[in-house]
Amino acid sequence: MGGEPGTICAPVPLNGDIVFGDVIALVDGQAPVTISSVELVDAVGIEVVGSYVVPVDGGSPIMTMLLTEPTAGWSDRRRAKGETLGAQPVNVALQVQRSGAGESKAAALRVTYTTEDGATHYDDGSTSLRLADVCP
Amino acid sequence: MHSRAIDTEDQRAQGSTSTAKGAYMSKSKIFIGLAVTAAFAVGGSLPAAADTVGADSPIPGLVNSDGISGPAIASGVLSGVDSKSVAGALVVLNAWPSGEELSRLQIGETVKISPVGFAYADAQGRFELKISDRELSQKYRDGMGKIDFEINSVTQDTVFTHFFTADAGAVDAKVAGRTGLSISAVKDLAPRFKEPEFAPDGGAIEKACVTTKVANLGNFWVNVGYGYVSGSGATMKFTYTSGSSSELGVGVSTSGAAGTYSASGTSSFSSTSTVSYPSTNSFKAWKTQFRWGKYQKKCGRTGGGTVTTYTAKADGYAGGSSIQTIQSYPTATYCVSNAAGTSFTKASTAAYSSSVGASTSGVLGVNVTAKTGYTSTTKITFTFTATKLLCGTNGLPGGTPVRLVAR
Repeated sequence: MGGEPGTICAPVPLNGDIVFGDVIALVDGQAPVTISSVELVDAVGIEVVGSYVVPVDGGSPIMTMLLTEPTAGWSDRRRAKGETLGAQPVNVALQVQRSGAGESKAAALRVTYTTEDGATHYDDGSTSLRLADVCP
Repeated sequence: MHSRAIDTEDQRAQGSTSTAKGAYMSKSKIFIGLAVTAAFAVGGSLPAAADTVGADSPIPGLVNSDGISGPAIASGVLSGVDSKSVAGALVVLNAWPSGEELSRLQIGETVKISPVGFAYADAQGRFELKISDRELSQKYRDGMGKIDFEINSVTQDTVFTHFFTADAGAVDAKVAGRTGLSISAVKDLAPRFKEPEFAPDGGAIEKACVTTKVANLGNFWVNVGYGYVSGSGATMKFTYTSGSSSELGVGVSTSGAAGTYSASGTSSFSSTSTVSYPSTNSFKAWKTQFRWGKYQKKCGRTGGGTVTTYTAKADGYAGGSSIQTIQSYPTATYCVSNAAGTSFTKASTAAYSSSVGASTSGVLGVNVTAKTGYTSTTKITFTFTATKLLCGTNGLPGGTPVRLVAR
């Protein structure tokens, strides 16, 4: 996660769902860590339905995904909270629902985690999310 | 880098955070650190200069870099010639006016180029350039916060020239003595020209140099963006908005004649109008036009006479648009999956430099580089009509991809 800014726009009707993901990679010596939460930053009109760690073996990480067209790893997803991360990059994903008829957006995806020494950290992605009736 | 550490439960409750050390680290951060190492790898002890300050300085008002503490703005080595001929050579760092100022110059007008630092090469031709003027960035930055520098050294029979662009913020950090930001890794200044008619009487006197704009060389197409869609299921749209900054190659020559220029670093120039390219697919290079100007520099020599060199650099934005279809797409292995109906806009990524970015060979004799990153004013949007992978050449699309391929 981290890096340079980007924006996703997804055409999602009111009460519709979509999956929004990012990839986190620990630097040497940091692993293992335990995920405390995966959430949206500054979300307006978007609710988090579920937060997951999605296996990427043999596939590509999810940036956006329709529930009607799941990726190969989606069926093997695990609840993110309490998941232990090692040295390999991991795809974290949120199933989100558009809950506002107006502007629905979030600034980033945030992963909060605890290292072995008990310290808590968080890491924000650099991609923002916008849900709208129509994307330009 | 967005990682933060929450040190204690109390601090977390109060929302107090501090930067995480060694937590999730982006690739760009690691790369910057390596670049700094490279930039200073050619450093080392420089010879004691004969003059350091004030009236004894070869450039009044400037201090020898050897006498300035803190990190170097640029370092390198004068190479490709007998090291004896470059030992002790005066190496000068000049600041050029911004592109906006250059664009207003008429043919025959003098350019105000300011020496801002100097150093003497050591026995192996190595040098480190530092500056002490804390106001420098305010004086020379352009509207996008870029500063154009020229490194120049004239020895008995060789002229060394190299141009580079630096972010004003990075310059401020260097002047303030902070390390960790890389400005330029000028590792090897190969000789640009040899003039055997030079008398063996030492180098040029930088303070006696006069630079004049002598011609417009014409408008040249410059690649300002690249995008790739393989197959169907996605389109892409590129926008190059007014104020977008590109780093464009500089050519140097002793005669100034067509076809005699050598590529010698880059300078920055910002567009002054917006080009919105149509939505497209396949593999594309987006182009717009910049004007290159020809500048003559005459310097007095310590033993009499003058040294004349010519510089060709971008000094105007001409506009226009052209889309070139490219035959293939680059290897891009950092992929993420994107759902049908969604779009992804990259509003900023590290710049991609193409060695043939500007089609100047017809006049200069060489195509020079062009480098444009996506910024808040230069962006690319991919729209997916089917579930498709989006891949970066240097990192994941959400991170620092540099070039993006939908496939």
